[in-house]
Amino acid sequence: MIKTRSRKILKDVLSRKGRTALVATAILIGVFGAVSLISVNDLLVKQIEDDITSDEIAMVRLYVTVPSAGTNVTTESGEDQVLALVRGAREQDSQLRGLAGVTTIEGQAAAPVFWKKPGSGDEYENADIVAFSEPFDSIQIEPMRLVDGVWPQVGVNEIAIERRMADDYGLSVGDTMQFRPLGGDAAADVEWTITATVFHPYWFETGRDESQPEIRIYANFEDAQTIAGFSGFKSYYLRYADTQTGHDQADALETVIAENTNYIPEGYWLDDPDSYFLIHEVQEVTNILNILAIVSLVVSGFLVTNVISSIVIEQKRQIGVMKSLGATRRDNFFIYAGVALTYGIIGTIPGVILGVLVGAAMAQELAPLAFTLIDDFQVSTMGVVIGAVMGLLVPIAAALFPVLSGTRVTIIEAVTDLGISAKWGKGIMARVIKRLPFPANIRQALSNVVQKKGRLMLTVITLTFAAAAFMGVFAMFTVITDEIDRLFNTFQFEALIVPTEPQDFDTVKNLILEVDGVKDVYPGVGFGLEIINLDSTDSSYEIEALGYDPAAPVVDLDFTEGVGWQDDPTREGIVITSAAAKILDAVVGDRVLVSAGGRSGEYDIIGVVSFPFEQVFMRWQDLSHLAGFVYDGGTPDDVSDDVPLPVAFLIAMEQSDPTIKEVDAVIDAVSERLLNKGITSSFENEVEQQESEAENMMTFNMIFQLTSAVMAAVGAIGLLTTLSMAVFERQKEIGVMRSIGAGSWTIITQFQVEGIIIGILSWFVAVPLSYLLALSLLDGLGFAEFIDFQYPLWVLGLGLVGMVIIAALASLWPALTAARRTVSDILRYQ
Amino acid sequence: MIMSNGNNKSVISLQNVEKIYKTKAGPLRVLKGIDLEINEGEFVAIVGPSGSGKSTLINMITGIDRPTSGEVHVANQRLTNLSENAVAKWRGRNVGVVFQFFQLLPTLTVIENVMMPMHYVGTFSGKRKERAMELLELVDMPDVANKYPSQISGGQQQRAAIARALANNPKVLVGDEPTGNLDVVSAGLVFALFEDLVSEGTTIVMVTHDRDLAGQIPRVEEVRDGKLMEHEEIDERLVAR
Amino acid sequence: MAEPFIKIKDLVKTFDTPAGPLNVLRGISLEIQKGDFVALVGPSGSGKTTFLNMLTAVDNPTSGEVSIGGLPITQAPQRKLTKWRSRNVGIVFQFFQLLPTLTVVENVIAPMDFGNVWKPRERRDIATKLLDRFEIADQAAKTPDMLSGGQQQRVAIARALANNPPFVVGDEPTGNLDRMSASNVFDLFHQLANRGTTVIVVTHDRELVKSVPKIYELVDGTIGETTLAAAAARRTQELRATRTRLATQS
Repeated sequence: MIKTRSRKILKDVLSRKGRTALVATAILIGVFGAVSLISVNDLLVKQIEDDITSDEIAMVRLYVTVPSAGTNVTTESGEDQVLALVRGAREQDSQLRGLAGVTTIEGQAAAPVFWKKPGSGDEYENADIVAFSEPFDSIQIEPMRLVDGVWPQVGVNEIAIERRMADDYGLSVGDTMQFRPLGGDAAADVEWTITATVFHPYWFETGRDESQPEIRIYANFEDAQTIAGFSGFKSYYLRYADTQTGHDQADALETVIAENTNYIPEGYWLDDPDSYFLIHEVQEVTNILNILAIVSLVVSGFLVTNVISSIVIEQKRQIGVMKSLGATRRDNFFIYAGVALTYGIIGTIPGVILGVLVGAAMAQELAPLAFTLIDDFQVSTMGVVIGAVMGLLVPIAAALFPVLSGTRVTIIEAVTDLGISAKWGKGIMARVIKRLPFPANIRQALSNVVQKKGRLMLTVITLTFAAAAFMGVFAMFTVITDEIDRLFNTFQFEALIVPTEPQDFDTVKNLILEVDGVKDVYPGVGFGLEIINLDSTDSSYEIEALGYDPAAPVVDLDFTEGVGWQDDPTREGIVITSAAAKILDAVVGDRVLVSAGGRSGEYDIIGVVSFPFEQVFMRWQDLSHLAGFVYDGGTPDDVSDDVPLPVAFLIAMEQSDPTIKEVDAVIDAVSERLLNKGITSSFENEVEQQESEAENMMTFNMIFQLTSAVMAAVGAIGLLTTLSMAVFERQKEIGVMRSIGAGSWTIITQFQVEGIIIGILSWFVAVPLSYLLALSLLDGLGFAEFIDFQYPLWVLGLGLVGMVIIAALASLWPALTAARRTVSDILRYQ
Repeated sequence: MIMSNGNNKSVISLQNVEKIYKTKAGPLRVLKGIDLEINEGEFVAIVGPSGSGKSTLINMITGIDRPTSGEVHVANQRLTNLSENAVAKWRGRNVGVVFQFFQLLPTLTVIENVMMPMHYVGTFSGKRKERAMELLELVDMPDVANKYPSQISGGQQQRAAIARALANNPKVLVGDEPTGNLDVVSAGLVFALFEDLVSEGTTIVMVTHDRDLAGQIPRVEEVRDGKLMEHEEIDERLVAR
Repeated sequence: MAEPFIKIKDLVKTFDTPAGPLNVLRGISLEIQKGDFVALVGPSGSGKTTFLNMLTAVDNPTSGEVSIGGLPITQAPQRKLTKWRSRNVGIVFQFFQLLPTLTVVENVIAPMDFGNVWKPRERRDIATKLLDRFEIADQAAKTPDMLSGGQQQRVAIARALANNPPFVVGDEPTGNLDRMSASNVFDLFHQLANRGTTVIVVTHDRELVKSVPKIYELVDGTIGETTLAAAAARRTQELRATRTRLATQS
């Protein structure tokens, strides 16, 4: 049997449909945001966790390269030198530093290839071909899973492809493909059969090349060599008796390999199988989303507080009457908290449904960015539960204070509320405002705003969050985008070609120059170095070094100290970035000791450049020598006649500002020429990189801006509610103003001014908050170390303008309502 | 007892005024064909039982409400076709309204309240404060000028409201039970002030259910069930002479 | 004579206002019998509503005692009073104060749900019978805004009787009604009194009050049984005295 209390809740909720819709919408938005964002986080992380097993994760990943193409990396018996080294150590149970305690070691190779379906004309697609040191079905570290078909056999032209590539290109088991041949006269029409599709959930990187699963082909090692022509492995994954042993020995491992094989170690990556790094990276970003979601839900709670507060004030008389009929304070509490809960229910149900749908869709969309794959529609229980619970709890919590204080009204107060309640006058604010040199109706507006402190605070908080979120996110992304722009503008080449194995510079350069549209070709080298500043502390740091030809117009450095090679491109020395200078505690003139893979040299710092990353720049020949990318001139142990080889070729095009397609065309032509000479290479379309970075930024930016738009919407609704409440409470005042001659304009501006005052106040408080927010977002996204954050002040101006506009708009409707009421409506009782 | 010194110039004219409210219980006919002429300088009491329509009647005079049909002319202005905005402005200049419950704006001081009508209408520019002080002296309250309404008594609030109603020197002063909530002393003061104003030429129309008060006012009109009664028919129980 | 239903002794109420302390009730003593129909008259601001608030335990006196049906309500704690009030006092307000989102019959049921006098199953029935008694049962499903003032007041009276209280209080119950409805309301009060309900009414209505058996006048915080003519004469005298005083001042 429905009793009066519940009946009143239902009827009250139904009788003011507009208000119910407004509040429920705010809750809906909050719940929707919470559920969808939490779902995305949960689903992505769960998917990654499902797909991986910690027993299979590598503890050390070692990346290697060869000094030049064709270097021999096998033992006399044809075994890979590194694998042989480690096997030998294990057989002898060697305690040799670097090799002790290895339980498993496997090698991975990768190279770029070009493929097409038979009979589909001249156009080749690019892809990566990947091979392993073990047969497919015995790979232990980070293996692929067979999804369809059977593993390819060696020597019979069989391959497998990643399922994401199969999906993207519409390929399936049984289809065949052809590869662009190495060397001009090799047969081009050899067909390879796809015998399997696989799912490779683990991150796969081979040093310089980040291999995307959407373009990944798998073959047995010998077959891969046939197709792509490389000689050795690009990386080795190792597992040890325990993780710490592996981590401790990584340096020694590098040294041991450098000294005992022909491979050049390029660096290593340590991982803890018990906390897979990919999960962490995804969580770092999505955690921020979680926080934003909760915040927007809480902000919509403030709206509920405002509305319930207004209801309780409106219904003062009814509360008093109910008390006179025997309702206890608990009865009244039940009723108004019940109204809040009802709003919560009405908003939560569709909010959860929408959130589940959008969350699942977003998770599927974002999965590739997290290098995983979500196949089907999934529901995150955690998202639903948190969203639903908060959607119901937040309104009740929000209603607590106004209901408790509003139901305190005594019967007398409630029933004899006849005139305008006149309590203003004693406080400090009243006296201060009295003295301000503003016209009377502005002072009236100020007084009105200040009078309802509780409500003012809530509205200000809501709007402040919105403003802070908007400005903070905007500032952060502006700064990031600017930095990225600057970064890309530093490098003035459009394409980067990296042969699979280092080649002779002039040979390759001439090949490239034959292609139409190429203006020039420059050499480049990249390598990780250990650097010690001899003129300050003793610590050594691992810093990426970039080698290039300073005479070439290929890198545009912004010197803050020293001159570098600007006047003399042959000067001896090294240039460091401002970020590197900071950690090395170095200035121009200091001397540093630079070492890599056993070789070292000393250089003077001849310049410091403004650059957000920790890097050093060297002449490429110096770096190649250091790294060991040399062609042995014939005399072993005599480095003076070793010819340095560049690792990369930087291509500058004739056309300024070419499109992605134009660059692609050049790259295609270049790689065809190289392949004809048996040289495989990977390439980077710099223009494409820039645009895709920009797009990624845009995606993130949009998600964050969406959240701040949500908060702005809730904030505006909050302001609208506050002012509507004010209009209702001050009806009599408005009637009085009208009766003594106030025109519509006066009344409208009164409320607009109040709204704008609240807006400006919120903006003011939001300014420092937005600074903090931008900083923590940068930190959370991992950019903080790289970027020196200078808050772009124009964003504050943008925020202020936006806030004033929102405030003016949100106060327009209540203002018009106020002006429209006829005096007789207002002054008539009951 | 002051003699009514109304001259022959008509300042308030209601012709066949009808007011019908649409309520959920059906149309409610509150005023039924009211004809009323009031000349300048008259002091008129409007009496009648509750729900008779007297408040509605004076709302017609002040322009706060509009007739469903009929004509209303006040202070040389035809009110029936003016917009809400225009009426408000006209009212600010021509009519002083005093309500039953004080109705001062709580976030302004007493003197600012008195200055408000001048502000809205745009009169006495540059001399507003001065004039407001004069008005407060007229109601014998110059010392509370800078206080807020919550800091003065009910009687003082009412007097302040009257001062405000006089701010623009209106031709007509209309009060709806202006002494309904006052103690005996304040009520007497207010009434004395009204009599002074009338002798200076202001037209005052006042609704009251206080028969003693009504008995002191030169002209009395009774509204009964939406109609104006003939003078011979006025219920003597409403007026104590 | 039977023990009086309502006993009031030396009731004093002083309010603190920004303009100084206000002595509204200055020591009132009174006895009212069960089934009495009493009217309370007096000038505006004389304290009639305050006095009523003492009787309904809506407010507490500064000093003095009120006991109703044997219960000394000035001593009792708030929580107990709420319950006592819902079962013992029916209040009829000047502005009806019906709950706007509930229908007529739901309004009458409301006090029953709070007072728990009747079993839940019986409540709707009893409410409908009450509405019938006041000839307004046909409006049972309507909301208050669809009724005229007179009809709303009848619903309010029905609501006041919902828990069959021994006494009913009305604060200007006909203040907002036309002649006919006002007269009907007073008839209803007469009927109630005849049936044993004690009825106390505050009113300005000079006409209708004549029919009330007992009239008390509250002047300057003290109470006295009176006739109307005496009250009127006294008021006029006071007004004239004030004006004379003012005239001689200026």
